Amino acid sequence: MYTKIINTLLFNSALMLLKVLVVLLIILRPSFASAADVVIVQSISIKPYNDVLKGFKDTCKCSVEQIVLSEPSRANLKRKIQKANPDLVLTIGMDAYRKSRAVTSLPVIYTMILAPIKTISNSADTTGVSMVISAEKQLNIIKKVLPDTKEIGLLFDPARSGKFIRRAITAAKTEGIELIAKEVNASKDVPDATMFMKDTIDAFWVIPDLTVITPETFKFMLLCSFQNYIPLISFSDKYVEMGALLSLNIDEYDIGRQAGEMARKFFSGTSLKQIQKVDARNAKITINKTTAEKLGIPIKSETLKNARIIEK
Amino acid sequence: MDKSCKQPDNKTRSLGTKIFYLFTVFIIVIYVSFSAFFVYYQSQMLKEHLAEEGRQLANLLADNLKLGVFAENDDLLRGPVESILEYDETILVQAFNNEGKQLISLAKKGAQIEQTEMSELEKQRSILESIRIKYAPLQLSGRESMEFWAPVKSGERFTEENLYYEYTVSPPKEYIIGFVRVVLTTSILKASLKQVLINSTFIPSLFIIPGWFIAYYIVIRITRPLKRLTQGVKAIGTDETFVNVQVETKDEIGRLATAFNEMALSLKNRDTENKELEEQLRQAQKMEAVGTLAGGIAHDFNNIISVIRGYGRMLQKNKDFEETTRNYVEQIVSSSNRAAALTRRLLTFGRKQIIDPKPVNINNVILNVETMLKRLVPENVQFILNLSETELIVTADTTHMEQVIMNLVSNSRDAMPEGGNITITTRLIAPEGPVFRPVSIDRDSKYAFISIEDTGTGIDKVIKEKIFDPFFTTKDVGEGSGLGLSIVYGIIKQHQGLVDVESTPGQGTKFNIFLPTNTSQVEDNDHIASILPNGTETILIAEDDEYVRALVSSVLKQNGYKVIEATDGNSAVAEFLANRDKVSLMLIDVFMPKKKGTAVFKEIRETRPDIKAIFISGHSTSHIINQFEFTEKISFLSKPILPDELLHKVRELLDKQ
Ligand SMILES: Nc1ncnc2c1ncn2[C@@H]1O[C@H](COP(=O)(O)OP(=O)(O)O)[C@@H](O)[C@H]1O
Ligand SMILES: [Mg+2]
Repeated sequence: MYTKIINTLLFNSALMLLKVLVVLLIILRPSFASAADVVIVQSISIKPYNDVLKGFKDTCKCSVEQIVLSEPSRANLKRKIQKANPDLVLTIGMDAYRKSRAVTSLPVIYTMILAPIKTISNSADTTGVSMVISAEKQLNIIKKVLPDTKEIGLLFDPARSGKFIRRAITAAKTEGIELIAKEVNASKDVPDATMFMKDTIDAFWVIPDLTVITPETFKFMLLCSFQNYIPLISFSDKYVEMGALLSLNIDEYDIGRQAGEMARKFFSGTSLKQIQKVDARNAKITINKTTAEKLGIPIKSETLKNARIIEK
Repeated sequence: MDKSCKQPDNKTRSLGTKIFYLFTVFIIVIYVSFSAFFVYYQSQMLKEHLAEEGRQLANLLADNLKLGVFAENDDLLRGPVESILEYDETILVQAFNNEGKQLISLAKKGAQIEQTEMSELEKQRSILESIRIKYAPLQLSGRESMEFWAPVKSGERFTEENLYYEYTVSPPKEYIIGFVRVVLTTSILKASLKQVLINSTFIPSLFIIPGWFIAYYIVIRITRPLKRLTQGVKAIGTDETFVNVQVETKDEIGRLATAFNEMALSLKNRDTENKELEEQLRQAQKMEAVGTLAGGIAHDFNNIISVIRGYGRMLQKNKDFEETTRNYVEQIVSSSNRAAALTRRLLTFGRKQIIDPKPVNINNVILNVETMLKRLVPENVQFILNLSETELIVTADTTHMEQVIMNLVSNSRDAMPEGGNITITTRLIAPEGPVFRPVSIDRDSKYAFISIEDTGTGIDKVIKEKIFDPFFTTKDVGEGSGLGLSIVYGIIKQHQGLVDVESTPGQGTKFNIFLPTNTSQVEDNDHIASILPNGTETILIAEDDEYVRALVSSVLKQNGYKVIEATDGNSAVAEFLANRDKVSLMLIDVFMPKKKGTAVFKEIRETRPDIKAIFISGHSTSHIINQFEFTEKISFLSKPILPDELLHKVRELLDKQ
């Protein structure tokens, strides 16, 4: 009698095990057909980029496959994308965008690149969110944080940041600020240009321009800032930690969300051509309290409340 | 140049100088090698230091010039370059961009920049190339300067990726954007090296020079005692009066000095001892020679006297002479008696006197003559006897011993005309220790010691040497004969003894006599009867001297004896054999031609063992006596022969059974 019951039990459990195995196989099987809606190509795996990814995922609610370029195990990018067979590619970082664009003709939403130049604007199936916060927004914040500022100095390479400067000059006027923007064509001209304007400005605004900013030039500008009591306004925490007074940072998670919203529009049938390329819409403030004290610049408690504080 | 002309002085340098030279050489070697090492070490240090400074300056400059080189901005370049030029050693500072274009070149005023053979440009290009390849600073050393090159490096330009965010692709990349060149002069280094050289030469000498003096002082201190010792040794060698070497230390040298002093002292003692012994020997030899001479003369003289006396006596007995003739005979006899006495004394001194030694107690001998001695000295002379309690038995002739005492006491008396003390001391001594060490004495036996001491005039040193000489006297003619001490000397010598004198002029004199002791019993002396004995027996006389033979023969014949005469040893034996049964006694001269008396006697005794004999001799005959046991059949008679003595001896022997 017992043996009968045991036999029945054994048979049932064996059957259950088989079912589980079959389900597992189905789940774990290599994707033969379209496995993900979006392939995300990421230059490197750093927190800001991962934040973008998170924002995107949270907004898009689509299936994604992530490829990190800097990881040693990466295979051929092209094959990987083909294998994933997505409808859309999201790139995080300049490197990721360039390489993806080179290997695929799929629609691409870019993130974490500076104001796109020729390649991007000419490309058909491309749209995205740049790392640039609009000049208007930035100047608005600057005026709020440093209300006494009348003249702001700025160096720019017209080839890189000409467009931004043009908008900024107009925006400054509305804020009652005179923007003294000086063109530099090579990095080695930066020190001279900085020295040239140091006596006439209340603040120095450093924009993400690769010609203007090199490890050496930034150090020089920082030195100038301390020597002449001119606050330095930058675009990343990195420079605040080095001694800049203030930075107006992009909000990476929000950028991810912006990209996610674009993807949703795409999946709902809108062509990427029709989706406007945008700048980062949000700005986070970081303030170096020590620098503020050194330069003798009062910071309103209201500002401090909303800002990330660095004390170095 | 002749090498042999070199100073021979080098070989005779003192030990001190040698040690000092050695020390000096040692110090110089140490000094030079230390200085050389020190200077070398210091120069290396300074060079290394300069090089280190140069590298640091170049690196510092390269670091500070990043922006300046990057911007190729003269204002940015000038500041750091000038600050580097402020260093004392810096004479030239230059900066170049990556293409080798000179951006700045500042030289110190008045500094001379060394020119290399290579053209400046060529050299520079090769240097920059090597830095680019090695990616590291470079260092070149010239004669007058050292130059340092360092690359000016910059971090990698930002990319879009890291413009915003800090992340590193390890290792962080750097690239060369230019070069700096810092030239340092070595003249300052050379100056300080010169200072080091001066210091390392003069500072040690501050220590070395006092050290030198100290070393010199130490060497002197060590060798001074040695020098003294040398002088001491020289003094002994050259017989200068030696003064003890001063002992300064307790070390080896000090001990050497002490040992040396001891040696010198014992040498000195030995020297005086040797002189004394020499003196003694000389004296003994002199006495021996004089004794032999005197004895020889006395012996022959004795024979002559015997004859004179013998015939004199016979003449005396002749009643036929008239008064005057008899008077002459008396004169002859008394004179010949005096001559015989003198001869005997000479013989005694010359040890040619026959002695009759028997074991006697010296104390008794002295006590026997005491009365006589007291009679000898005047009232103002105190006579003290200090005799030993133990018996002092010596084998001696009592008469001779008495003679010795008498002679010495009379001399003492003569030396004390104003009176004083005469002390006679006897003692038994063992010849040990330094008090008593005449060489001739047997150290194993004990000695009887007799001293006769007076408080008289004493004896002058010069006189002392001669007092034992026969006929030496300081006394007036008639008072002293000069034979007293000679006889003492002769007797003591004959008894295997020793006599010496201690005297302090003005205080007194002490004569010391040492005689070997004997353990035998003392015999009492009987006295000789005074009646002249006679007889009828036949007596054989063997005597070479015809006078003596005639004398003896006539004396015996006068007293009833029958006499057979023989002139030598051989005839004596022949005569005996011819009259073998008649002869009752033989008179044999010990020394005869052809056959000696002893040999004759031995031969005859073989045929007649019971034969009685009297030996006659003018010499000391102890060795003859020793040849035969003194039985009742053998007796002895010494020359000069006295008729009474002869008759007594003959009768005595014939009567013995
Ligand atoms: N006890 C003495 N004191 C001083 N001089 C002495 C003594 N004994 C001997 N002499 C000296 O020695 C000399 C020799 O002595 P000696 O041979 O006995 O001869 P004599 O007594 O006949 O002079 C004496 O003349 C005397 O000068
Ligand atoms: Mg005398």
